[in-house]
Amino acid sequence: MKKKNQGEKLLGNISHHTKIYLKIVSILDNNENKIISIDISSNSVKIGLVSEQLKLEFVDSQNINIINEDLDGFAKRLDMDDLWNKVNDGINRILKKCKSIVNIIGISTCTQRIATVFLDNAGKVIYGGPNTDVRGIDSAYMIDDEFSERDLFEITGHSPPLLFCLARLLWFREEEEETYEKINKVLMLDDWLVYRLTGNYVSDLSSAAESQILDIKKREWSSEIIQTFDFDPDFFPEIVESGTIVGELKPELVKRFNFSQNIIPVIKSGGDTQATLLGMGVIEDGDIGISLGTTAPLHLVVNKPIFDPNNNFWTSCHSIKGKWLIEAHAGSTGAVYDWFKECFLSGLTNNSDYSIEQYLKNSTPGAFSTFAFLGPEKMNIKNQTSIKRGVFVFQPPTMVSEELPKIGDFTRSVLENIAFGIFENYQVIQMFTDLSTRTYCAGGMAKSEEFCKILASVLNTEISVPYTKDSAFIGVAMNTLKGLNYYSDYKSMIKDLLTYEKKFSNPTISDIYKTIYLEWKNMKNKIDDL
Amino acid sequence: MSKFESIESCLKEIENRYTNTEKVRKKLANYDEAIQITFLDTNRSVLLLVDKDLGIEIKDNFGDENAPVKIEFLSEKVMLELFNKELGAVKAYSSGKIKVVEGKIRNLMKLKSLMF
Repeated sequence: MKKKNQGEKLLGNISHHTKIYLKIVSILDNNENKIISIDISSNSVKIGLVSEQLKLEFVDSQNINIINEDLDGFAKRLDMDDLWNKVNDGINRILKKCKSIVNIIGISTCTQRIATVFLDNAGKVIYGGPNTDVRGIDSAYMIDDEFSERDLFEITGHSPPLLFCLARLLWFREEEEETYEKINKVLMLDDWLVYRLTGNYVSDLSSAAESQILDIKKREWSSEIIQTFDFDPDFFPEIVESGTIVGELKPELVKRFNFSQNIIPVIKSGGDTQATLLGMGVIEDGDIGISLGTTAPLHLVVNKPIFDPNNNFWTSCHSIKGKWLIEAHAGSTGAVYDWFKECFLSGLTNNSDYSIEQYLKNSTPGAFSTFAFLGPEKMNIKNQTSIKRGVFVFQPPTMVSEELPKIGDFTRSVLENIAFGIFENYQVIQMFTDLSTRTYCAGGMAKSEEFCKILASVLNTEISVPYTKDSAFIGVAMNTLKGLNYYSDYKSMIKDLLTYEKKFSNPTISDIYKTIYLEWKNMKNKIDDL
Repeated sequence: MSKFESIESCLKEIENRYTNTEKVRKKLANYDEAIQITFLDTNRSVLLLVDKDLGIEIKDNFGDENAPVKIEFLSEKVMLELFNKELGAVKAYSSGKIKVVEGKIRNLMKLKSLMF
């Protein structure tokens, strides 16, 4: 594949009008300059309107549709038309919320990682698969036959193959040859969104890194993988750094959204997790970011690609030039939290988040010897062969029981399970650096004051929580500001625009949690055999 | 009426899939490890011996404690439901009706087309 200075090439494609526009926006009244941030996460399409001071002003959120393709439940598809309609509806709705006409200085997007889209030569979607599509289970053997687990991991930093774009491509070649023959472009979901907005095919490192086709060290599509499987090299779009202007919003979309200006630059962001990390300010070596979303990936920033000798913890590209990420994953944390709220609290209260805060305030560490085992744990996807059973362990009513656990104790046990799952990964990820680390967290669960306190004490560290917890929107907006040259680097942007609350570990509670964690872990070892 | 009404008919189907489907044999071309299936309700064990793409031998009521791949079914009914497409493999797996008690995921992926 030809190596190009892709960023320069793309900037060279920007129209003369865009260049003039970039100059004009810098002299307009700053108060009215806004950024549209689009985030397609695992569950929802979210549109945010962010000021150039990085204040999140409006958010619109809609659930996404995922279609099961087979009874077995391995193959899943995104409803791509529905997704695009929701992006359009969401943009229209946030624009309506603005009381006055605003100058949209740019649009940028991030999406769930791993999700993949194949297009035909007319740009029509022939497959769009979410991060939960594991159809690759049927084709992963082809990868195993060509690459040893270690060799593939040292190229791509990811495992096991069944999850990723590489196995999906091979699945279509093996199982749906006619569809495979129609493939003209292989895009990650964020690349597709950029394509819909601009008409341009382009990827970025944070997206491409989650395809298992990117050479993580070289930061380019792996020619070895492409040649081994005889893929058409033209399948794969050019790769730019996040924070690069990659085109202008299509004229028909400018008209549809009734924008006051004709030229709206679109800036590449990429993976939602990398955008979240950026929005937390996690960019320096030794920074650890905990993204508290549907799941809870933990990332350590490193300045060179390091590969886990056991091929378990992933290595990805950050959206920051010259930075890589080591990822450990605590599993379905936010999903467990939401499930618990829905199943156990929705009938008791109209505001479960508020109730959870009260329950946590009124209960004590250890939750009256109530323990939850609902999934969050140390990452071990590579060797995971069974889905563990969910279990609560608690003191039941007996003739000799004087006190019994209450709903507040069960609530606390769930949050402690999540914190312990994060802790196990936090311990491991720190072993990849000799530097002293700084810890940040953001995402939906970071909005819980009490959970952040538990987490700080379980991790026994100070945690910086950004003022705006929906950090993906902020990260996407930061890429926009970088692309538009408002700032020459992310570091100064973070210094000027991000503010944090500090969550401190309570040494006494932290000591108590050391014991409780060991009790939980010992019990878990037995429960895992169920 | 269900197509598969006994474990024997399911085992026959596994043999058919191997023998009559080139794709299945292709997937198993480098596979030669024993697979032990145990039904927890009847304590019945079945041993599948795949010899790459050269053949398969199925031994009913036969176990091997040293088999590198061991799969447990909560009951014989689970296998019947799977083969009759009344239950999806992912659902069976996530609800604990099937449990892989031993085995590398790389090998298990290869077995999917044979079993589910």
